[in-house]
Amino acid sequence: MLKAIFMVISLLSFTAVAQGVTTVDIAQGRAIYATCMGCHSPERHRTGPQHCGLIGRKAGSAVGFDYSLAMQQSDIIWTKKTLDDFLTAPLRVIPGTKMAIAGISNKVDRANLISYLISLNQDAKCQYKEIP
Amino acid sequence: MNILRSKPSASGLVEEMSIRSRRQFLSSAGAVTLSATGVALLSGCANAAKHDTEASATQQDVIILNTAISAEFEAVAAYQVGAQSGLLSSEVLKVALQFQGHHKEHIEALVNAVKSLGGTAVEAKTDYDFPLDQLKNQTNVLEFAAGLERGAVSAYAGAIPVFGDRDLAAAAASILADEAMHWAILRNALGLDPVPGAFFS
Repeated sequence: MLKAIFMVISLLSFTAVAQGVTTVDIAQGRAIYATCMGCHSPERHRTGPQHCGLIGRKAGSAVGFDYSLAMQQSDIIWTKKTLDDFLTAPLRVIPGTKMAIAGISNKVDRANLISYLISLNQDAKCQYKEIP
Repeated sequence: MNILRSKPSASGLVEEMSIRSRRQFLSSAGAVTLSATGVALLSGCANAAKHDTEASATQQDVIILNTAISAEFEAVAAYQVGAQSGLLSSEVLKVALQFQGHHKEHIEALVNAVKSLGGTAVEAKTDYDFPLDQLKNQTNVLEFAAGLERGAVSAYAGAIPVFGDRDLAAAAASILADEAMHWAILRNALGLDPVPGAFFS
């Protein structure tokens, strides 16, 4: 058991170091996510699209959300890297996106937030199929 | 702006902003027309690029405003759900309806701003898919509303730096302040510290 925990911690640390971040903190990412909740929710579309299943999804493809044309045509697949780029400066990466905010300049905050978004895929509230 | 005017209302500020934005928009729209015909030839491509940038900034402002309108519509709908839930005391209901009225005023001001920029304002959704099963008592409703108000503060805080028109940014800041007051009052009603820190994050 301890060995398994050690392996998970090592993997997370490796990922963080690869991103130039010393640690990733999902709990901190969840706290940062509160700033996203003016428009987003994990499990339902609001002013912004739901975040369940975000990682690995093509940008602008969540069923039932009215995306900007710019987002639909962006040809981006959401990964740690593409999310990190987008969250740094959304309007620079996808001019015309409805997510017209300045972005998150702190790379640790971005890394933590992305870790939380990844963790959502394992969250019970995301264990359902999208309904058109 | 006449700073000696007594108690300028948010709607008054936005109206004034709207008039100025309309002037600026009309001015830049005329300039774009000119650049398409002759100014580019007379002044070189730099001016044309500048005008294109202005038009792009205006389009971006319309997108930001419409995103804000969408969120405000959601807030109005959420307060309506709370008001009709039968879970609120008469005192809390009165405050909820007052806050809902503020959000309606925000929508009116934002829609006018979009129109002044030549854009088309978004409309309210027919269904917001609120988590109604989680609203079982007054505290649940207050927590739900507080979450929306907190989110609204974040959304405006994120949008203000990217407005092309600084008057629009100022008007958005005025709305942000109102949302922050809502959030503080709701936190207080929940028994939480109404102002949890010197900085919002």
